[in-house]
Amino acid sequence: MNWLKLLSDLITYAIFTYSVVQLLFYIFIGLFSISAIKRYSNRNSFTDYKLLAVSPYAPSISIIAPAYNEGANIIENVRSLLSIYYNNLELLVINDGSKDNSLQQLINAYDLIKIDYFVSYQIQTKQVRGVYKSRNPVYKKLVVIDKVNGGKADALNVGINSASNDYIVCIDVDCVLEQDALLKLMKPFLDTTGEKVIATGGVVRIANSCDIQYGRLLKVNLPKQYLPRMQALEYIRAFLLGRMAWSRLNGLLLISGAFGAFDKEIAIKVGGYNHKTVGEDMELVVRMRRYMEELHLPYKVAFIPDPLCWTEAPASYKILGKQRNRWTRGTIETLGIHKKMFFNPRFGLLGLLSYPYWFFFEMCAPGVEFFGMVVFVIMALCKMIYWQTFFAFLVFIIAFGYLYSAFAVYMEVKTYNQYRRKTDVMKLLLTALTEPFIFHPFLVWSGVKGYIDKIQGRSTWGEMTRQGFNGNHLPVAAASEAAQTSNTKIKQPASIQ
Amino acid sequence: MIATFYTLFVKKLKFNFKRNISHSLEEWITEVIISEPTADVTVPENFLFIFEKSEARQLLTDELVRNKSSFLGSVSDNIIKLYYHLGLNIDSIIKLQNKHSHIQCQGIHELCVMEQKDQLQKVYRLTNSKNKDVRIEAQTAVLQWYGFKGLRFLDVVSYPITEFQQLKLLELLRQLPFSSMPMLGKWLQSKNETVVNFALKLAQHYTQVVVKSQVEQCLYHSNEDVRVQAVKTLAVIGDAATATLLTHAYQKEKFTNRLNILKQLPKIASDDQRDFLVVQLNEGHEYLKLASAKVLAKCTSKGMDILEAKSYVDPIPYNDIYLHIKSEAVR
Repeated sequence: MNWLKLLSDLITYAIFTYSVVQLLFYIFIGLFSISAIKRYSNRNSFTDYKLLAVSPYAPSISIIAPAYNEGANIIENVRSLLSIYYNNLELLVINDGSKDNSLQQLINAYDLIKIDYFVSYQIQTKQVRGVYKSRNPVYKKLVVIDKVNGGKADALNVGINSASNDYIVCIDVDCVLEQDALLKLMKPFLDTTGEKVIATGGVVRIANSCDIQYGRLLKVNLPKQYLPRMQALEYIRAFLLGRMAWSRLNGLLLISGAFGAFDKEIAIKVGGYNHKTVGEDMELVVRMRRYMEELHLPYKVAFIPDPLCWTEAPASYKILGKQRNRWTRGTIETLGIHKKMFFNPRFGLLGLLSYPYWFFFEMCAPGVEFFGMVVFVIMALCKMIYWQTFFAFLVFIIAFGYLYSAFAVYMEVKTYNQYRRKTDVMKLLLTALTEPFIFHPFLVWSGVKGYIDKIQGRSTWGEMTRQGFNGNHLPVAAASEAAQTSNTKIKQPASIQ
Repeated sequence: MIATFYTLFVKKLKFNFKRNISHSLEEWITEVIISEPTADVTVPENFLFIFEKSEARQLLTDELVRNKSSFLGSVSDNIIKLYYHLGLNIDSIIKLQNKHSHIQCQGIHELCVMEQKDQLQKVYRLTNSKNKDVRIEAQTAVLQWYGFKGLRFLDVVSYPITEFQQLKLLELLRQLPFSSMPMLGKWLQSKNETVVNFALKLAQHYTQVVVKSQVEQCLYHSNEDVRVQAVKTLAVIGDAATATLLTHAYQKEKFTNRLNILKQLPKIASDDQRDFLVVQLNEGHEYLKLASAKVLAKCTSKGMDILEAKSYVDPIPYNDIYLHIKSEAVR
């Protein structure tokens, strides 16, 4: 049975090579993130961000907050966004055809009246039913746009069409922002010469178990539940290490949908968010980058390591699974739309490094791992496993994964140190130990289900319920047929891939 | 793991050290800074030992820098005296030689807040440093010390001044009494595009009509950012003739500056621009149509009538535009 031996060798060496390259990438990301974070901290140690808030020369910003069935918290969430300290600002709340009384609540709470407002459909969207502004001058920054349900991307596009300012900040309406989040997010746009900053993003952190009142973060706590805690670690790893390293290389492909700023002109020129994908946040960044590359315009996608935005992570396997399933489909769709860039030297680093990395190590990873497990079981049944070598590799890979997590925790402690108690750090490190046995296999399985759903042509967002920040169960959204059919995102936690 | 817990331990140590000395330090600093300016500064014996440690000296410097920003008059003078008496100025000067740019920045910042103007020569040299951060701190310091006269670094700076730095400098200047800028015309012709941009903002903010002709030249600058800012400046310092000039420039511009021109025109446009605006209302991008409609309504006689008539002839999109403008006028 020489062919069987040949096949098993081929598979073994292919997976081995894949793993080695992936580990090398992790090492590179870890090392690169150190210099990126250090550089950022040193550079901004004397920055007075308040200047931006008061200066008449600061760039004008339109915050776009899409809302669907947010009735339970909409008033508080909007109040929190209105309290953002920035002079040159408008807040656009897009009611994406909510089936609850969100709009009426907003009308009552903020004394809104319907006005005649010209909405330009530069980007094709569903129909706008009405635009509302407050009679109370205190809320003069607030614009509420009521539209026919069309999904998150469509709602964001209505916001882009209606925004009257130069920069747009897209935000999940229920996110909790740090006081100076907007100022920090905007600075990169003003801090470069020669190259145009087209988008910026910041670190998103997990808000589960944190003390939050009136939309303000009062105290940071490590999530008490296992899944959110595991995601807290995952987010630290992804944002503090991954994104920072890619940003340093100017190879970042994703700005989180939870909180990101974009140059409005470029966003309109590329056609806004793509409502045909469930990964619209990544797709927009890739399209903007592609546009700049094709026109040979110098540009940058910036990322800052400051924790700017706090969001609630899924606490149940069901919701988490659906979220990761969606992320996998979003990645497949985005990379599929822009397949032209794959190893295309015309797109420079984007085509030669960023895209292939995402293709092989983000999109294909669940498939490769799942395939590896299947092959392992078959080989074990055929008694083709050299157990000594297997266990040596298994220990090595678990140790490496743990080391990477421990390094991420170290970077967090060394820099922003959000979890200050030794017990919290210890809990994080202990949680990391369980990852290869519980959390990671679950993510692989969710990713594989994402492949299956993609093949079957499903393009739903899936259900996403929240427990509420103070532990009170607030079902802010429920799965609805309308959402399923219209591609509506009921709630989207930050994608972190 | 060891590194993580060691870092936590060191952070805790630093925190405790700071907490232990900060209370007594604060008391002593308060005592010194509210005393008579002529009184001698005596360092308590228990502090002499502590001040040998660089961490403690830095802590003291930070404390003084923080306090200095909050006080004026004799209290402020006493803080500087204390800083000088303890030789902390030497620490700051040494930092200027450090190979790490953030330490250099820290040194400049301390010298700046503590008004160590005798270090002007060293700091001024750094206003055109190769390192962006050092350059920014040095420019800020020179401006804080000498106000409008400090702007002379614009004569020589060859590296770009970022938008953020321009904004920072303008905010600093806004807090100072205005003084003439005889070199403004020269800066408007600088080879450094960011200097031109900044000079345009100065001309706009301080309504420097005297440089109007140089600003008009900037309408034809090769850099789009400069042209955009020139339009904004001319909208403030220009006159009726400027509006015509802007409408001529409009033809050669791309979308960004076209929209910018239409947004600035309401400040200076009149009936003379009506024909131009009617053309823009009929052509091009919807944002440009809306912007031209706004100028028509605001600056020309019978502008609203033109819009109303247009809304009947061509309801999409002009009816919505007309209603938008009408609604805005009511609000």
